[in-house]
Amino acid sequence: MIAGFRKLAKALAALCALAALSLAAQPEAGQFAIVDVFVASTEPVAAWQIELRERRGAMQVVGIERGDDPTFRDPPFFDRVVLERGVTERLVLASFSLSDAAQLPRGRVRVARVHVRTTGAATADYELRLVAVGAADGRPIDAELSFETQAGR
Amino acid sequence: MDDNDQELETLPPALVSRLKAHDRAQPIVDPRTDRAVLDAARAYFAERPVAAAPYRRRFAMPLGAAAAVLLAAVIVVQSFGPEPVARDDIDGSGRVDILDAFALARAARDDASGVAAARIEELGYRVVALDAQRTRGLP
Repeated sequence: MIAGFRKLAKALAALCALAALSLAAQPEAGQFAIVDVFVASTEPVAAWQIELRERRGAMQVVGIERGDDPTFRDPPFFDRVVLERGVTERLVLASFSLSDAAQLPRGRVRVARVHVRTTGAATADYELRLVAVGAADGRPIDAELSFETQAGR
Repeated sequence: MDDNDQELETLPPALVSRLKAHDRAQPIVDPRTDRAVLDAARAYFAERPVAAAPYRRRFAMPLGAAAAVLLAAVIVVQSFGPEPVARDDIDGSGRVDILDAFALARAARDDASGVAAARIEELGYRVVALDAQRTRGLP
């Protein structure tokens, strides 16, 4: 009886070891994550353009959503080729709204959500660059850019 | 006696006499005949409208050169033409970004220039294109 339990325990241990080895051997399976892009400005923001980079070049873009503000109704402009690529190191997003200045967002607002899949064992290393931000009259304005990441599904 | 005479002696006399007659029958062109033919030819061609040919020749070369220069200029202008950046830099900022598409959209909204929505969208996708020379981002 005891010998049977010992054999069963050994078999379970071997199975666990195999499972662990299998997981370790698939670093390319990747992880999904969400990158939320925020623009903060004291003036109403009518247009914006940013560039998102993953320094290791191991980012695969799987989806892009618009931000929280209803005046930016459509998803931002982006190069659709990025969705066809297996891996890309950068992504450019841009959008504008023709709403009145009184309706446009001001302060810190989420302007886009990027769904990415990263490959490799290392943590993703994102970098954001502000290309342009404009007011309702088309005038360039100052703004701060930030992002938050969370695990995706 | 040379070799030809020796060969003739071996031939039949009738054949020899005919051959000698043939040699004598060769026409002899007198220099006066040459001069007469030349004068007649000059008199004949002097009556033709020879002024037209030099007229064409005089202007053919400059016209051809001018046409070549014009063609080269057209090719150069079409090849290097206005910079795309300058064409799409609507707000005159010196670079093309979403603010230029935004400026076009505002102009279309105000109906000031009749800008087509397709032109605005095309510019919007171009500013986010990963490859500057490509506009495949268009849906």
